[in-house]
Amino acid sequence: MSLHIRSLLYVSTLSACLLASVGAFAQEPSVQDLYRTSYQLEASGNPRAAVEKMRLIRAKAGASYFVSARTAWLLYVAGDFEASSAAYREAATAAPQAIEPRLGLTLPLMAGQKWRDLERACRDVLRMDANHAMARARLAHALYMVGNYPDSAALYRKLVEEYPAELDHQTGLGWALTRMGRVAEAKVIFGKVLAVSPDNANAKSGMTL
Amino acid sequence: MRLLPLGLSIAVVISASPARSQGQDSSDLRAGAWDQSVRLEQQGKLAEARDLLRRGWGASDSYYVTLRVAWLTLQLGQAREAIALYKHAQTLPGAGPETNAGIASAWTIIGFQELEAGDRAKAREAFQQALEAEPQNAEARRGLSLSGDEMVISAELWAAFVRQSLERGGTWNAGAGFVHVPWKLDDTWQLRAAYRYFQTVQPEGSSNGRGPRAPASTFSSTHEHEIYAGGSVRNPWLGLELMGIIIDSSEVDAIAGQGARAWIGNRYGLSVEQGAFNRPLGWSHQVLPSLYVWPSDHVGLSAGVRVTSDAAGDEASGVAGVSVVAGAVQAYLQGHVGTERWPLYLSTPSVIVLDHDLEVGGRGTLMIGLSDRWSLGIQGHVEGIRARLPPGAPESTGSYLSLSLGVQYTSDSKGKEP
Repeated sequence: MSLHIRSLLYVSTLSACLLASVGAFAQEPSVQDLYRTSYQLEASGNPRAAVEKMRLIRAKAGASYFVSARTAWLLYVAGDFEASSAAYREAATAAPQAIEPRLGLTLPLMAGQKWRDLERACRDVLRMDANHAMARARLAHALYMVGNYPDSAALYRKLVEEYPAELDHQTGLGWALTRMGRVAEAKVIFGKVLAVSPDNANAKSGMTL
Repeated sequence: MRLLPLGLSIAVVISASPARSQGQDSSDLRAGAWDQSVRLEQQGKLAEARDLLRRGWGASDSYYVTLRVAWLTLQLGQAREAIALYKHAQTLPGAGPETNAGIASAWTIIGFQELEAGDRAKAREAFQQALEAEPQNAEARRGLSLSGDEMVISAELWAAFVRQSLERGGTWNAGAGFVHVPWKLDDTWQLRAAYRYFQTVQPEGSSNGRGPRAPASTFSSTHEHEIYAGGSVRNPWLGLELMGIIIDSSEVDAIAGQGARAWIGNRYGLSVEQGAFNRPLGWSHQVLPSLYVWPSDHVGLSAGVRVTSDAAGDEASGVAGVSVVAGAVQAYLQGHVGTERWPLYLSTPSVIVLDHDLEVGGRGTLMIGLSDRWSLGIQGHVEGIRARLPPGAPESTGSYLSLSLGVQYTSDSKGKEP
């Protein structure tokens, strides 16, 4: 090969490398871009893709409470309840004083029908905030689902007193009473719900007993 | 949050020793416990059903659990414990009116237990407690009426026709009127008074066994007054009654006598009746020990021996009786085989005042309730008699028959003495 051709080849190769580097450098998104994209993907109904972006963020910026928490949420929305639960637990470890990840954990547990685990998760929240309404409501539901109707009814009754317009609490109480054989008492509650929400499916079911 | 409607309860059994043992906490013990408790109850395993809830909730602050434990405790027959649980439930959040019904039921059970044991005073108290908790409780009302009033006064009036016939001695007829007033002062003390007027009409010369013969040319009439007065003290298991008796006949001087009865037992036991009369020929004594049993609430049986000792000698007679109580109808039958003289019947009270030997006989009484307070009665008494004649005189046997009709009134609307 002549010197002219070797030089031309050397310059071409060097140029190509330089161009590739610049190109590569120009395509790598920033963490903020990844976040932005994850929100856009979530909003457009593509949580799995959003999860992937979060994984990239994690790889790029390292693990953090926010990464774990948001990943957990996206996994829940995507229907991967096991992974979501794991991510929420990781977030709770990262922020031991935070109620948020513990409350978040209740979502995949509820969706995955892990009632005993849900009961424990709710009690974790309530140890930090004894009056947390949502935790109590989810605990009442968990207790109902594991067949602990007396404690479920007691919780629902308290919630009904505190949040009388929240019809889910009332139907929850009605069903707990029904499972304890107190059907007449339950139907009074279902009737009150139907009076203000005629198409409430839970209450309608209750009235057929 | 949607709760799915479910049909019959199903549950997972959690049977364990008290909470926090073997790695289980109360949450573990409570999960599914309610449904399993219901299932155990349906299988008749009431104690297990209750214990399951106790293991899960302990000394619970849950109204529903306490109420159910109270219910199961009541079903197990532990009425007093159930009352305590119902009262505790009344203090808990969510308490409802069913606790009063539970307390009333428990007290009613106690009331009937006391009635069964024969303690009307305690039964009355229990039923009143039940009605305090639930004034419209029908069973408690029924129990209270069965307990009877503390003070009861009764009266009965009888008219009788009596006829005696002897092979050698002729026949006489008699009419009698009898009034008897038992007065129950309270559940312990009772007084009684009775009077009988007895008038015979007999051919002259015939003997009524009550005194000397008259020439046999016309009919003669004799009359007799019998007065009984006494009192008794009792509790559900023991009792003692004493009675004074005066028999005043137109043919002989007045005869004084006494009767007594003591008993021990309730549905079964021992009763001893005793009587003594200062008759013209000397004192006559009798004693009737007997055993009794009520194998059911409707049938009573008794059997004993009446021993008579008087100037004519000592005699023994086997005595047996049966009582039947069926709603508004009551029947009493008593019979004897063996010689008796002047047998005293303390229950009525009455004495067969004949100077003859009563060899075999019996009597029956039928009482028919016309209302809560009024009853109609019919009584018959038949005796085979042997005349007591001087040595060497031919034997003379015959019969004694009485037929009575009576009415009875009681101020106690429902209570019936055992």
